[in-house]
Amino acid sequence: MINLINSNIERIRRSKLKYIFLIVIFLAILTIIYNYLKINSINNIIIVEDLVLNCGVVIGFICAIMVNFFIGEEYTDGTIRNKIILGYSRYKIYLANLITLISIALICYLIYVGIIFGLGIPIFGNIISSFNDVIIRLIDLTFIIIAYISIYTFISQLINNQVITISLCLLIMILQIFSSLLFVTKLEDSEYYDTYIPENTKVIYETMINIMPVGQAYEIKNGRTLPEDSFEILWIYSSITSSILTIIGLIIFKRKDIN
Amino acid sequence: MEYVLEVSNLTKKYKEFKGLNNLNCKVPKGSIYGLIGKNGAGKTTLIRIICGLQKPTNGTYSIYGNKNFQRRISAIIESPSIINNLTAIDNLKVQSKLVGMPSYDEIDELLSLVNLTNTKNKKVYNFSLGMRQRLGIAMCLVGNPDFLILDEPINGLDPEGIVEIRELLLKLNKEKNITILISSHYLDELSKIATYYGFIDNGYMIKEISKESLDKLLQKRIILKVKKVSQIIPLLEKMNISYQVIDDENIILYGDIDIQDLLSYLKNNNHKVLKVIEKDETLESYFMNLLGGDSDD
Repeated sequence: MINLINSNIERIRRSKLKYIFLIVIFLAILTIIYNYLKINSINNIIIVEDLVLNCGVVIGFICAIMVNFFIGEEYTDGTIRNKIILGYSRYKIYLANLITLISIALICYLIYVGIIFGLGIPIFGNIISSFNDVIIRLIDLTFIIIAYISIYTFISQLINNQVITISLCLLIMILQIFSSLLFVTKLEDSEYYDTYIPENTKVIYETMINIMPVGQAYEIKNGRTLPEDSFEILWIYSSITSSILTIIGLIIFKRKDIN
Repeated sequence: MEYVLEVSNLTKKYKEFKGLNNLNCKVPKGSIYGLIGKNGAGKTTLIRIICGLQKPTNGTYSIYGNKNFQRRISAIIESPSIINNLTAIDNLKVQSKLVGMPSYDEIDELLSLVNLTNTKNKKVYNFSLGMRQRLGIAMCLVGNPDFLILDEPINGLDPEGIVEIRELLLKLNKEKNITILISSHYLDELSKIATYYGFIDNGYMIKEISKESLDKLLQKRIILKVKKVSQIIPLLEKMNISYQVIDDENIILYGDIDIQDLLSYLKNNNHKVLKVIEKDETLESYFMNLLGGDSDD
């Protein structure tokens, strides 16, 4: 599998995908500049940790594009076919692609976090939330990224057609956004307007929010909808989602006819 | 004889349609095996299965006796697996990493072998079809495989491109002893390089035959019907004519024979010829006869 990962890295190094790191640096600096201008224009307070923690949904779209670009090209160029012909097992091919994409995404994430805190703290001041709280939410966001990559790898690896996969991935993001907003709104209403929701239903809504990476991203941004819930459990949900989808993906990919 | 590939009763079903139907074949080591069949015969399906891209419904196949054949085979299926946004040399570097080569030392040699040294820094999307095919073959050769599978490698190439590929394949087979399985519709082209043939139709291997045996069958020949074959054999041997006895009355004569001279000679020696049939087959007519069940071998 080392050879597979090495060849993936070599391919990325020589293709347009390598510019993703520059794009992330650019976005991070743009975020700093934009918020700096916001302070000066309307005397706003910028909470530096929010500049990272609010990005969960945007990260999802970026991951969708990145995964589809990488795996879609593999199908278009015949690279996946080539790997199978050379004798690599389907499991190794799938996992190597997953590991490569997770690594790139997490490196981009670290670059973004590093720039935001590195430049943001001197400009906007220290973090306001408790250190532990920020760390836990950053860890949750890390696992959300892994969940995003797992979902999109599952879709892209199993469907040859790049148009269908990117459409499906974006549709999944949009459905998650709407579903999360719906569940969060219903839960918030029950807290503040005494709109009765049975406990079982509350648990179901909260579980659905916890399962969806976008739902988690929303909670990380705005705080837990139900005060009794904590951030410590969110990474477990992401891990379970990633694991289940990867296992199912491996089984289906093993049986798939490649044309 | 050692075989690189052995296929036994391979079947592939797509719902109600059988892509392969109890197909058997053997590819001898060191040969150039020409897989011939019309469109939809099952050539690509067979190649996809032996390359691991599809699973058979029934039957088995083994490559090198199922020993660890990773890196020993390489293939181009319909089009080469090359990354369009990279240059030729970058493609080879990526392939080197994939195959686990410790260095890029052999890349220049491969580029020279396929005549792409001058264009190694050109992006592949600017390549002609012939150049892409040659780069595809170079990619296949990274890691020194000894079994190369090519599915329709000369489709769409101009005459110059076809000659280049042909000469390259002959060179690989002779100098590096690479076994090559090549499928094609271009019978004339295949006849210039193949040492073994497999004729496939409706997912079934109709016939496998070596080049020597096929050349004999395709030789111009005359079938004579006489009263008694044994009586004319001494005369044929005197004339240095190659022959094959079919039965007491029928005999096949091979070679470029003047029929009038032969008939006069036999007549002068009191041998009556009852019937004369001239046969002059090409690979194409042989293949068409096979499909029609008319092969007389």
